[in-house]
Amino acid sequence: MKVEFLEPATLAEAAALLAAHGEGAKVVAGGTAVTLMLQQRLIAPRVLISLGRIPGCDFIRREADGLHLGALTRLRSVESSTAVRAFSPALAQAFGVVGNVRVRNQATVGGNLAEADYASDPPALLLALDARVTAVGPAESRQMPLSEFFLGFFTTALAPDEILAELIVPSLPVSARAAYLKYASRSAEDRPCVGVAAVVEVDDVGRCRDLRVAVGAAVETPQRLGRVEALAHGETLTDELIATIADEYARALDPLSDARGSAWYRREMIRVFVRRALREARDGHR
Amino acid sequence: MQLTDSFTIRASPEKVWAFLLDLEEMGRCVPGLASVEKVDEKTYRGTLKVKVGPVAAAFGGKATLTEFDPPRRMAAVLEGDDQLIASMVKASFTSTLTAVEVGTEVAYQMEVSLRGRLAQFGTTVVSATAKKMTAAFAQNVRTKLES
Repeated sequence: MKVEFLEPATLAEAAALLAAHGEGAKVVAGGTAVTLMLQQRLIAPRVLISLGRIPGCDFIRREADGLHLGALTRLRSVESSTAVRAFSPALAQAFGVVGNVRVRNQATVGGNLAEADYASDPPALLLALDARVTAVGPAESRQMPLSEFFLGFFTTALAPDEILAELIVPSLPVSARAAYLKYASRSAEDRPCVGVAAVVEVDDVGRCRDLRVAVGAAVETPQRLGRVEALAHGETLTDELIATIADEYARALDPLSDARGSAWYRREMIRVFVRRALREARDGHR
Repeated sequence: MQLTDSFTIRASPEKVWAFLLDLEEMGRCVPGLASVEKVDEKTYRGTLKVKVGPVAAAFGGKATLTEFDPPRRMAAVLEGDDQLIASMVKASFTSTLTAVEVGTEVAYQMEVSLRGRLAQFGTTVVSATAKKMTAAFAQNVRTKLES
């Protein structure tokens, strides 16, 4: 079957093409995910809308409200950017553990999020960092928090004619520290079995001002438990408190089963990696 | 792959049973059901569209009733295939209606064997999709029967 390959010049034009071609069209950015699905013949689009020639979507910018990443920025660029590392070493690390270097040289920030594969590293940390995204439609653009973006397996809140344009990560207070731990159960290059992100901010006397934990890859969409995070507010973050929080995450989340681990196994690994991620965010090491 | 799920409807088992056998009405409650027709007393034909993220399938096939015990229990064998992404599904389906305090508990159990490309997409994703479709179906039935 013949596939039409379109190369619009702007995101709005791309969104208009998407609206015009409907379900038969598929957007391609870096192509790492789309190519696999095409090869496995899971999808058979009549039209491929490539974002590759759209200028001005590959950028990393520090602005007043945080770090802005263009949708077409390669994962490798994020990983190796001094601006990203200065902003948040954990952010550079979470993008740096995706797949392998060949994948990261090709895959894009927007593609990673819009594909919404549950077994992915950046989403959990981005959720813990309260990140948000900008979506461009044929007529207008809008922003939404990442907490409202992932709806389910491979499903996002993007409308059928919307394209993810930008990722915005708010700055953390200087006294806060973030960590992301990836646990791969099969091989070094594998997608995560469990990924845990933690953000900890303590005041001068060692009391927890803010604590955030997001678990990804083990569940359908990355999850935070506000009720459990609140247990730490105003408290000293002891090993016992960390263990309690880890137990609560393991108890409350509903892990999935796949080739990387059963639901039972993942529940135990959530317990272990929430504990380790919180310790790393608290101490700066595991 | 074993799928089990249940939901409660605030209506009597007799009413729920009659509703489930009314193809027109029941069919409208099944998310993605494009067509359904009765072939004979025990056989139905239909087309079901399923979409999981970027992957869409349209299963055409038939359901054959193997057990029929109104208003308590029915069993059927489902067979279907999809031309879009070359996948085949075969399932044995058992459903029970139990009178409970608030109405009727509808439970089902399904042993599904999936072959072809959808199978490699992962049973995790497929079973989660089935759960979501069941929840949507239950909600639609509630809207019809509880008003």
